[in-house]
Amino acid sequence: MTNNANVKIKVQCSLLIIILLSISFIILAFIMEPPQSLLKGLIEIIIAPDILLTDYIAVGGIGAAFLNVGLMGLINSFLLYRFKIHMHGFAIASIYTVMGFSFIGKNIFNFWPIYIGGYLYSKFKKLEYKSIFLILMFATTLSPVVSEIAFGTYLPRHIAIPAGIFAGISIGFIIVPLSAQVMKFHDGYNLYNIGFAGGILGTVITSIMRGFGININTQNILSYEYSTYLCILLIIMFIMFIIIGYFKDNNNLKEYKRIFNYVGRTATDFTQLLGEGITYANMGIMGLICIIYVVLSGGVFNGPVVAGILTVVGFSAFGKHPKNVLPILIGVMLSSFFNIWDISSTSVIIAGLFGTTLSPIAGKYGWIAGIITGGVHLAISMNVGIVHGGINLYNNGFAGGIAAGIIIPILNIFKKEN
Amino acid sequence: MNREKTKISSITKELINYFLMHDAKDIDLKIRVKEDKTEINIHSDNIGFTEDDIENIRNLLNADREIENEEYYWQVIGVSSEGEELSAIGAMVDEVNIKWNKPSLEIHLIRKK
Repeated sequence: MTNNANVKIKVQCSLLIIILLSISFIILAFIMEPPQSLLKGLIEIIIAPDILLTDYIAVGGIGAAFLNVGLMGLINSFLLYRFKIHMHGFAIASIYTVMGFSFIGKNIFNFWPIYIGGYLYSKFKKLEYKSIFLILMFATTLSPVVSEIAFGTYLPRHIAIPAGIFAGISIGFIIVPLSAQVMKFHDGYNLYNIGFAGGILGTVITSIMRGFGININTQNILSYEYSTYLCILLIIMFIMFIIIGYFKDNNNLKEYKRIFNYVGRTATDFTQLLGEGITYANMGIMGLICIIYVVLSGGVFNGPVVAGILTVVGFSAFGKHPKNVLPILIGVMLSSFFNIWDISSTSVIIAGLFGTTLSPIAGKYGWIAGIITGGVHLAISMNVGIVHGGINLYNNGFAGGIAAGIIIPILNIFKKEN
Repeated sequence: MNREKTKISSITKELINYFLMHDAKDIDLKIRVKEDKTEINIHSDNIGFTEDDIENIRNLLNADREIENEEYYWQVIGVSSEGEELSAIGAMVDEVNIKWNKPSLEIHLIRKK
């Protein structure tokens, strides 16, 4: 067994990095905007319906968006600390995903009901809350349901807000068994499994709401004016990750290439398999690759793109590495040359970034399969948003689940038997 | 089947998949369900393992028990074995004992309740 003392040090370091990152976002928020403006922006973020794509930088201003991200990071860090959760791969993936999506749909109001619902589920099933907490962090993909019902419907507020909270609690109560059920469809080849579960549940919720005459449709509220600023900020962050990785690794990253041996299917925890040093270096390298991808696509760095990049970076502790991610990105880029979608649009760029949810397919079946998968994923992701109306933030997790469920059996036809 | 039994079943299935993947010609499996723990013992006298495989399996199974990952991990093990999933088993058990005497391999796992 691994030395327990080492584990305790690891936990403190990883959590500390997230806390420092969160505090940095809050400090930047106060540097960029005065407190009154931040408060006003934060309220606007909270009362926004949050349907995809709602860029909080466009809704409340960059300061308020940063404040929301920082607060979400701190609150969730406190909860991770409180429940004594080891900051291994899955936990790192979950906190970076939550922070990323705090740019586009998760805010300090709308995630709580899902956590409460999960708590009730754990009591009902006599489980330790800690054992499902990370799943609940991902389950906040459906946070927009809370905001949409509370602030986006024709209902009076005194009915709408409790109704939104009740909907969130209900989601938290059922999402854990639902995520287990849908995992079987793609065999763990879609890393954003809760996004797939959220897509199915979101489709049901949207269908019911539409039945009551409440129309939910995707939207495109995007910011464009802070692209260079966000890009520089991310570059600094990822270079720091590589430096941290270099100093934390006993062999100065000489063994980094070992990471390419892993397929990356769900439960590939690099912190456990290769150590924290290589994991952080991989997170930094993957972040820089994402930035190059956005620049080559001619895209803009805004809330959704930053969300995509931070999610990739988080999952670079839990399955993603350059060898299994690049084929997917290339597949998305190549296919966008031949179809109707604009390669530089935010929707296509995030389809590429989040499309790396399918990186285990490239890891297992090789480059060509990965490139084809990227193309198929783009087509699906550009079409399924309408089904759930954008209330499932991990739209690409939903699309990825569908893509993997179809592609894996086809690829297995051509696989050599051993 | 209750949750705990399903988890034991998934762990066992993953181990069998892993042994078969490495061309085990015979496999003995024993599960002992006790009041406070479950013991799983899997053994093959003829398995196509190399020294690298042994190093790899030790690395994968010697993870810490992680209750926080358990509800997610048990969903993926025993489904489509790549070998990497053994790290998920490592996170679901408290003690691991591996005996390797080429070509014989025995893995003994203890999962406390």
